[in-house]
Amino acid sequence: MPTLAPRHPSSDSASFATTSFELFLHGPDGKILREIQDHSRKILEAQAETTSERSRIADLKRYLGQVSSHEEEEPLISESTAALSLKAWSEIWSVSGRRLPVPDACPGPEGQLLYTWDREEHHLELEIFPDGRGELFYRNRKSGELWDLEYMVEDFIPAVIFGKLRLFM
Amino acid sequence: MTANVPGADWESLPSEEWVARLAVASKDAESGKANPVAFELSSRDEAETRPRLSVWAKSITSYEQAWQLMGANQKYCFAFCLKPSDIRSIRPIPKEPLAEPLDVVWYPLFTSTNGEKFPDQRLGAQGHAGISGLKAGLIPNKAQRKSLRSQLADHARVIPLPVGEWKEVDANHST
Repeated sequence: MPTLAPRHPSSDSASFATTSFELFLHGPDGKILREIQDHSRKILEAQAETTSERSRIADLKRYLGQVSSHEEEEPLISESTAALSLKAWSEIWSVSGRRLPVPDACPGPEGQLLYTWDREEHHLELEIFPDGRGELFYRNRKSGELWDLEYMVEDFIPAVIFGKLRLFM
Repeated sequence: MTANVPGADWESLPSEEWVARLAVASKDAESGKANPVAFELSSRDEAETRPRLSVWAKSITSYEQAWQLMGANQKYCFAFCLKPSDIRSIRPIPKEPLAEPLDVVWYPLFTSTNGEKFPDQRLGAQGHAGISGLKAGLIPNKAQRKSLRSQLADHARVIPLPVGEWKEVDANHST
């Protein structure tokens, strides 16, 4: 198998075929080789991101289990709110084509759970209440643009939110 | 200027004082970002005519004292620290309809014996203060309320608390 390591073309006729292949591969300025290397790097990065994202999803499930656990004296959220929150996350993730990052999550004083996404000036919240409501809220820190929407988690997520989700992907 | 002695009930705190809000850990708490839901009043708070979100003046109350005063609960393992000047600079978005501006005011604690109220003498209790202007009923719409809490979170410095090293002390231990 020919090596992809750069080599200087040889004048030796016995190695003509290899040298020709390398010339083809490297091109006069090594462009093709660099493209192959870039592509390989991107594949490796994508694999790493997938692994990292899987780990973050596992972290989210673990966190929801902890805050709703009855091993605590008073669970911060109920098991049903934890399940609803997981469903809400799963659906918004699907709507985003599984590209929306796993959010931060934190229970509130009324047994609700708040998901947050932050990317530069963009801030997005999804608050899940025990009665099944989901409240989306977007704020742009620079322009002051605001947007909010209430829906029932058991229903479909309104498709209009896709444009906002893209800001975080 | 910081407060070495507390002011009267509803008196504003000095602008340069730092106040701490004790909070539960969010999933990504170690990231150093405060979660906005920590600045949400509970329904019990909301039932008051003019509720205040509980905070502690750092020049008077240490993190450990605040944690003891809140029942030494392991779930309060982060402090979100803000300056009153930053809190007062926050405006709801959208600005209209007008809402009561945020303020940080003294919020004395009391104990009750035989129906009589006495100032709370426990260590650090004098540093109790509150953020006013967060009552849902006084903020015209939901987006404004959410904009306020997310801005409070943006201004907060996040301090992890070593609650695992702290032991609950006698609740009646006083100054």
